[in-house]
Amino acid sequence: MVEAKMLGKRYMRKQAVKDVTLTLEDGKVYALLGPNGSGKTTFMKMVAGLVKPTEGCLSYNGKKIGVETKKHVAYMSTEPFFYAYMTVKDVGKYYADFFEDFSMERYEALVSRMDLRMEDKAKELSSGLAAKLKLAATLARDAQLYMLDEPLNGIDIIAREAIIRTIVEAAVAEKTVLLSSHLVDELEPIVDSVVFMKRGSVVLSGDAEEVRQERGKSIVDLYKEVYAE
Amino acid sequence: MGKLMKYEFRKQLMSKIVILAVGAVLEILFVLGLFLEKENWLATATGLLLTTAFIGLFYLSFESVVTFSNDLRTKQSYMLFLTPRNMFQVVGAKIAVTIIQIFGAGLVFALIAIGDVALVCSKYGKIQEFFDALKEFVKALTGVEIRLSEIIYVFLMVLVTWLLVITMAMFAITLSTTLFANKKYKGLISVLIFFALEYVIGKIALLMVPTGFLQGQYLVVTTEAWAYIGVYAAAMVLNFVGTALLLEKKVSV
Repeated sequence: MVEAKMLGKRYMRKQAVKDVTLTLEDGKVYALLGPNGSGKTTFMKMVAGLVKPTEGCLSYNGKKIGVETKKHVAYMSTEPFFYAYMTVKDVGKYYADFFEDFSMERYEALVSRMDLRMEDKAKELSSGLAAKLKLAATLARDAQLYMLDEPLNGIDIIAREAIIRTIVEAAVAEKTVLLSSHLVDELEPIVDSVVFMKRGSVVLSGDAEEVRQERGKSIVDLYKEVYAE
Repeated sequence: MGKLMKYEFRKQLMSKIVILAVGAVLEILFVLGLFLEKENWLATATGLLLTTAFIGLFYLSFESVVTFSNDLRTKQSYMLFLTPRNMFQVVGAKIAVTIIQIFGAGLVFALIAIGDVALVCSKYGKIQEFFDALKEFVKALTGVEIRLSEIIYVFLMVLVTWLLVITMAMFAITLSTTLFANKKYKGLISVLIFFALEYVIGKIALLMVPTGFLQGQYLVVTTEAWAYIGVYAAAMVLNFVGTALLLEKKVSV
């Protein structure tokens, strides 16, 4: 379970995340929604341990974010980040070397399903294939928490369905999935809960169905309402 | 830490391949020049081999700093910072790899030099004359008896000073990244921090050991001279700890 209390991140004069108090429960699929610059990526990076908070508290299963939590949290960034020399196979070996929960068998299956080849160079892949590679490496881990930042970016409409199916497969039992995306309509059918962020703060959060009932609107329509202002 | 070291080696492999490839081409030129008795080839290959060894060793000495800077500056940093490893291991792996590769490269170039000298001597059958001349040269150059303690001292002094420069550069880069994250001028700031640190550490070393390690123009291995190395070693450890702690607690990538 992720717990954030009055969490904040400031870069000199810029406040990227402000006063975020949020709990992400085990076994749920969350959509983290908001336009560019709303603080979604910074929040995810703080949970992943890449960005250090400047205010508030953040923990995963009661532990402060650090070496121990990184063993159970799988984060996929929106940008490509593999070393320039790496092939698809090297990426798998790297993950196998550092993450005990990584399954090479599952990685090979995902690579094959995503039309990647083990000998392909990561830096020479098209943006769509690079996005698939990041996803394959991340989902081949048997992590407790998956955080996927814009997993559908650069993916063509045909492949999106396969990606969403793969994400849903990963979201089993007690596993938590946190997805950020602008493509709200693609996420709406698969998420249990939603978190709307605006200018670094959480402006609305809750069970997706309850939010729909209370507001009498779909998540897509609510998104338009919240961010059209 | 072994796995971290493995990937540090892999990240820096290309420079080693380039240096070795250039060295191999020059060595072939040297051997051809020797056996075809082309003195021009021989002289050119010898000069370029020495230059390659010098530039190669200099670059390898500081390549870890360049790699570290890239690790903090680019998105590749995620590869390192997402792994469940503490930052003492991460920085320690980088320093260990630097030490291993500089000694490895030094050994390779030394073996090439010894091999080439042996080839020349076997070709012209003057191996004994060469070693006699070498002995005379060393005697003339030093004019004094060199003690083992002095050799050990100089070796340690060079090693500690070099590692101090590496750790100081890493600390300067980390501090600049911590204070000026996402700013374009943070590279320049890290250079300024580096020179400021160098000045301060130099002053502290002289304050603590005013005699330094030289008496007049000569090196004399006294207790004070060892203390001088001790101050540098302590500064090196502080830079290492400071870098790891900042990465652990403050740096955002």
